[in-house]
Amino acid sequence: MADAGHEALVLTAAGAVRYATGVAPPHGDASAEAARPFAAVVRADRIALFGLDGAAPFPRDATRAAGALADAVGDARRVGVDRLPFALGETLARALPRAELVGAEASVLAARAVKTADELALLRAAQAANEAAVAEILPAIVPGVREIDLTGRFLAAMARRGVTACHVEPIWCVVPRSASDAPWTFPGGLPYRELTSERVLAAGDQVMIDTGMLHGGYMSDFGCTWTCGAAPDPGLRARWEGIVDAVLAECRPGRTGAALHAAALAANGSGRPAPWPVPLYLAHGIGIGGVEPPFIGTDLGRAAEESMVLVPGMVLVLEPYVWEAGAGGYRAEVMVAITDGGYERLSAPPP
Amino acid sequence: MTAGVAERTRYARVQAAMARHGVGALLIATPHLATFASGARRVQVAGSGGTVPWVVVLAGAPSAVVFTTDPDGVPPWMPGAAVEPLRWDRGAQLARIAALVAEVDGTVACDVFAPALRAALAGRTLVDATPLLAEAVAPRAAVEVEAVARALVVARRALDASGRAVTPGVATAELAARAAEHSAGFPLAETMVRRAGDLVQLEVSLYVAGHAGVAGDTVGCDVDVSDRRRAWAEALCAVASGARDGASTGALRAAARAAGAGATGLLAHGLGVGIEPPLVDLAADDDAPLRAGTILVVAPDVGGFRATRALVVTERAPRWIEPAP
Repeated sequence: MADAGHEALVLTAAGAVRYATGVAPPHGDASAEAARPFAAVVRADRIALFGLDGAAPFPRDATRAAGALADAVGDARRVGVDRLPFALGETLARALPRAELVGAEASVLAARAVKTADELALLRAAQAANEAAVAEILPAIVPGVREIDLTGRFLAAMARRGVTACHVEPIWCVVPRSASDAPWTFPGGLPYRELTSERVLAAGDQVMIDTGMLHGGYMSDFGCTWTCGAAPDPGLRARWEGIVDAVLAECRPGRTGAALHAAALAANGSGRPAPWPVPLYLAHGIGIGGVEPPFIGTDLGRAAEESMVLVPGMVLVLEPYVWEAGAGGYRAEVMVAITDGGYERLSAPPP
Repeated sequence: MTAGVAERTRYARVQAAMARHGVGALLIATPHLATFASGARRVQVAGSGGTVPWVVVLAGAPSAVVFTTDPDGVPPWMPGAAVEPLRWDRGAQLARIAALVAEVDGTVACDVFAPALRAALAGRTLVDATPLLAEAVAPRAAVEVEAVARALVVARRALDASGRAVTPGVATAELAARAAEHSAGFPLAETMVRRAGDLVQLEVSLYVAGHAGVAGDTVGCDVDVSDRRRAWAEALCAVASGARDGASTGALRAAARAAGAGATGLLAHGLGVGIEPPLVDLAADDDAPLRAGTILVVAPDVGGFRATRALVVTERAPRWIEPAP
């Protein structure tokens, strides 16, 4: 907050509230959170909670909610705000005529970029639970099973490990083998799917798995590709490993997102599209949120990536995707923490 | 096919509401509202923010413009030009939105407070999109009610599987697991399991084909709950009997209290592509009229026994869309 010049923060995102206050809001999608509104106001000298941890309910009425927030903000002149409903934000701005309301990201995301040892331990634990749950489901990837059934079994396996907060729809979906199988693909990108369906698996289908769950306040992000009832294509996996190895070789303090990007492109070979889906990425950060900056390989561009300097404590998920017409595709994910001397893997090798 | 009809129907209602409000452009950043208006299954990935709109609806346009990482979740009837890759560069995203908005006259309605968006749209009048979207949500078309009813069946099936597992010593994690493995949907929120003495309150909420289903029940762990269920059913019927077009949410609260429902918590909420208004909270004192066509989940808590049933508000008696208790 000091670096960003924020004298107060009005936080409404569950992750931001949890990070700043230690209080865990109930998890749900945007509509569920709207049904149980909560907020936190953070100043250097105090925290005020609304709708959380025994605190007074956060009013749904915009005027009353803005009044409560304004009282907590007090005399702060520069206030970082999370997402607020339009009416609440406008009313809060009127209630704080001497304050400047700006986005809270400069404080919230900067604080979260570098993880402590305790945070790394929580990330390892979340990842281990996710990996164990997926391993339990892999034998169920057989002809005749629906993609959605795999999601249900996975969620049950996670629940039995005490993990019930699913931050993103688990992906268990068949990789397209030809461009015509994925007509929605954006120009210049590799054919891919992101959303699980009721499709019934057939022998030889390559099932891309991508799951993230919230455990102890921190996210896991597991990814691999598993062939249904047949041996995997060794060539695709070898290409993927070559790209990952090249990127890992750049993972050390002082290197930039641009260096990782360049290493991936070089390992992928010339004349091929970038080895990740458009508009996704080669790598992203992770922590209390499942997808956090830095984003490497996006439209943010080279100049932005050159400013993404790796420092010890940053955690990255590398997720290149290789695809060839007829052969299909392979994507898996590797989670690493940047250390003083390079990196430490927080995830197990993909099965 | 049915899903496509529901999406087109919703979009037509959004356009009609925009016309009534004189809105030239509608900008939506809230995920479930973006899904409602556009028909896209998912338009935002976790962590990508939340103050930059991912859906733009221009007055008279044949479909919304969607910015997404998941083009496989966009309805096939949407023109290809209306599906754009999500821009991680927020400045570029805002500039693109400004260019789209420049194509139309009229006010610009938005569902979130976004200082950066206001700056990008300097000179345009911004208004709150909430009233417009509330009008568009209700009344539900028959095809939408059918879709929600299917999601309710899945949620109830998952809940019943969880309830059957309630035995002395069972872990709440196991109850959540039973619900997950018996559902064919994506969780809308965590499976809620609360223990109150010998009573176990369960709630499952999920999405099926883009529509939300919610099911709640209370199960006795080696204890007979039939008397409690009867008292709950009386409260449910008391609330439901007053749920008609034009009735106030305050009247629902009063009916619930008179029937012995607890003093806090959500008594009822709308349901569609998520948990939706009206949100009838027993701890609040706000008031709003019910609209015919609203799908309402009613969930009184009487003496620790809480369960849900869904109905459709009509101009007369409500129409249950789940089996009666």
